[in-house]
Formats: sequence, structure tokens, C-alpha cells
Amino acid sequence: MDLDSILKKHKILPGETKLIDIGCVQLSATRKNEGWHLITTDNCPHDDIDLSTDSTLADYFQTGNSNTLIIAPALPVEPLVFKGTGLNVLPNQQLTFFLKIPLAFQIYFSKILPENLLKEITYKRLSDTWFGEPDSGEPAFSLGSEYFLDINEIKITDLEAICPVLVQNTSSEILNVQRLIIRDENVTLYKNGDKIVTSLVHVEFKGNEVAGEVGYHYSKEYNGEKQEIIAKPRNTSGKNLLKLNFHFIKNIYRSE
Amino acid sequence: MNFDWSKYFNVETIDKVLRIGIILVVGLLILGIITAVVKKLLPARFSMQRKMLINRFVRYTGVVILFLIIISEMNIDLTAIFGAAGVIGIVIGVASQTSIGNIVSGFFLVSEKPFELGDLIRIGDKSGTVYSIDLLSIKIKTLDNLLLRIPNQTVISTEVINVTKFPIRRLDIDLSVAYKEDLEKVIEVIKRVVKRNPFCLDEPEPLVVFKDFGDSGINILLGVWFEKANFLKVKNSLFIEIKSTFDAEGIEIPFPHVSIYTGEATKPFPFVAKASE
Repeated sequence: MDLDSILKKHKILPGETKLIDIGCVQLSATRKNEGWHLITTDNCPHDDIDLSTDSTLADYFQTGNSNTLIIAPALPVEPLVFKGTGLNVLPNQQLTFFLKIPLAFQIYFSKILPENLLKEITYKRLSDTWFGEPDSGEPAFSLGSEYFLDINEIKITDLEAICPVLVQNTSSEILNVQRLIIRDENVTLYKNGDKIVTSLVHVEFKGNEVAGEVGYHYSKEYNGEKQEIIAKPRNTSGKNLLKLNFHFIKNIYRSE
Repeated sequence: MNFDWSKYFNVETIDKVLRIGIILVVGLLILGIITAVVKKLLPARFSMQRKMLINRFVRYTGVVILFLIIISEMNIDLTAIFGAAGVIGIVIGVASQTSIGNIVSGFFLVSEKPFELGDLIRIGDKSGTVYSIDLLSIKIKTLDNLLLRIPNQTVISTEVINVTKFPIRRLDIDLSVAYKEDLEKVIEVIKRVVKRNPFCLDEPEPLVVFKDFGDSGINILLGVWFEKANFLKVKNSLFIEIKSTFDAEGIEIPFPHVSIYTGEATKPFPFVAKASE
């Protein structure tokens, strides 16, 4: 099933059931008289994470009269952490690289409004990770260590987006990108030709343990001339954030 | 003997009692309203403990003010009361040293803040969620839903572990594998189990350390990090997954063995199996 057949209005009459495959996750939507019975079944082959504990989830939603179900793309609910290996940026240099981000899918009834959101599905379960120190960090999903220096090198599926990242090193030290957080709640999804590309993540590195500046911007080069938005950011405030964006691994077992 | 009741139950006294009654009722009502308004106005970002302290401060201040208004309404000389209070204070102080110790410890607890309302703590062999922090004691709701009162002085002088202070924790599991096992394979299997478990964080990295050559096998410490709310899920699922994966991979989890020798250390006790008749 291609993306266009997922991302549309699904008309389902009372008593009918429609099966929608989102990658290897199957959504079974049954229209009841006054609500929706949604079952998601995870048929994904075991790869990174064992999903056997929550492979089938069933929910009933009392919604009223609408017979329309809408599936819209989104980014995962938690920030994403890129784990760099051997990626260095020298002082006063900037580097653009590209990441693959698996999409999430939001299921709405009637219209795309926050109060009409029934459920979110991710077709791929990302590993839970922790960004920062054990006493003060934040939970996130791990994106792994795969990155591309050329956007044309990336082979993505219909259910993935490309995330361009521009790292600017304005400090006087070499930046070894070990862990970089992408707060995807501030990221917009654009359609550029047949690809889905996120806003440009522009991170400025000012030094270790110094809050750098990060901005999530539209880029004509990567997002296309037309600015075709397919998903707005979850959080529209604070597009320029002054936070710790890089984390450098410390050996916490030194004393043991 | 004729007792002159009119000396006490005259119009003036009844008027005074009524006025005090009205002041008391209206005062308590206003205090209740003020406390409720303050409770509502407190920002959501304040911790439960801070909210509780502010509320108590407002309530106790209100009660003191109300007490002073009533005293002045009764035309009682305050200097006499304060004088009497000093004497009474000394008597009470001597008689209730433990309580005063608890009150003072309570102030230290509030200022030091080793835990807050809602934190899961361990004091001695008792564990539970902090239910309230009061003048004389803290109340803990134990994990089996009992209310445990611990005097503040005991809390101050005992080692307290705040289990839920930080957002993530490490669960340590002691494992043991038989001496015959390939240790590199054991490590690889353990890491695979942890990676596939949805409740284990992949960072901070899991810890796998060979501890010692034990009596029955090689002892290994496995430490996995998880978000504090997932404690039971991670513990139960890991135990099941480690056991089932070890079984599937043919890795033996040893139990105490005793070797019996017949005189020569390297030769085993002769064992002859006989077919049953």
C-alpha cells in the first residue's frame, strides 16, 4: 500500500470494517453506530525491539456521527537522538548531513483537529534512549548512527522522511558529534516531489556544556519551492531554542 | 449560698459571646476561602510539597490572627497571657522534649528537602510513597497500602534512599553461567536480550561485568537502565527473556554442585548404572 492510499479520508459506514496496512502494522477500523473500534496489529518481523508484549491493541472511541476517518503523517512523539560515530566538525566550519526518520501516523475522525485525534501509530518501534546525564536528561528515541552526506544518496521508503541537519561549529574546539538531539515537536513535514522532507535543523555549537542555538526552518533547497506542508509541528512555540543539543558520553562506570 | 448568675449572664456578656462567635464563624469562613483561593492560584509548576507548605503557612497565620482578634475582643491583657505562655512553655518544653526534637527535625527536613510528597523512599527496611510531611512526623504509604508514621527525628538520623528522585534508574541482576559455557557467546546473548527488551534504555549503555568464579559457575552482573515508572515491567520481562533465551541457546544456569571423590582428586566417584529387572 503506497502513502497516498493511506493518507486520505477513509469513508467507512456503520457496521463496515476497513483494513489499512501501514508498513507491517495493520489497522482494522470498524465503524460502530456512534463510534470507532480500532485495532492495530503489529506484524513486523523482529528486528531491533521485541513488540510481542503490545503487538495487538484494541480501542473503542465514542465519537458521534461522522463516518470519516483521516490518517495524517507526523513525526514520533519523543525527541530523536542521532548517535554519531567519527563525525567531526572543525572550528568555524559547518556540515550538512541527512538522516532517515520513520514517520508516525495520526488517526483522526471527521476533521484534522487536535480534539479529534484518536490514536497514533508508528510502523517501526524505535529504541528508547536517554539524552543527557542520568540525573537530568530527557527521554528520547534513538535514530541510530546512519547518516548521509548527500541527499541523493538516501534510499527511503514511503514511510520515512529525510531530515537535513546543518551543524555549525562556532566554538574554538573540534566538535565530535556523539549525540545530537532533534526536538521533532518543532519540525514541519514538507512534501518535495515524491519525498517527504522535514524542516532544516540548524544547530550551532558554541562549546562543550554550553547551550547552543537550534532553529527549525523552511529551506527552499531541501523543502522545495512550493512549501507544501503536510504536517505542522506539534509545538508551534519556541522555534529557536536555546538548549543543550549535543551530549558527550562520559564513562559513568569509572569508579566501579 | 446565693450565687449571682446575673454577674456572668447579663446582656453585656451575652453580647460579647455572640460577637466572638460571629467573629469566629466569619473568620474561619474567610480563612477557608483565602486558603482555597491561594490553593487555586498556586502555579502548577510548584511541587506538591511547596504547595502544601504555602497552604499551611497561610492557614496557621490566619488562625493566629483570628486568635489575636478574639483575645482583643475579650479585652484580655495580652502581657499576662504572654507571661503565662512563657511559664507554660517551659513546663511543656521540659515535658515534651521528644516532640520538640521532632518539630526541629521537621524544619531541617523541609529545608534540606531529601524527598518531596509523592517520592518513593526507603528508610531502614521500610519502603513507600511520601504521603505527608507534618510537624512531628512524615507519613508514608507503603507499597502494600498501609500508612506508616515515622517521627521526623528518626528520619533525620536514619539513612534515607530516595528511589524516584532521578528520572532513570539502573536495575542490577546477578546471573550465573556454567563453567563450560563460551563467555563471549554469553555476553552476546545477554546484550541481544537487553537490546530487544522494549523497556530497557539503550543509553546509558547496559553494564555487563564478570564478577567472580563462583562455587557453581561464573557470576555475572547485568545492569540495565530504565525509566523509573517501568521498574516492574523491566524486571519481570528481563527475567523471563533471559531464562528463555538461555534455554534456547543451550546456556546452562548452574545451581550448587558437589563433586565426590574416592581418594584421588581428579578421578570421579565410580558410578555404575544397572538395568532395572
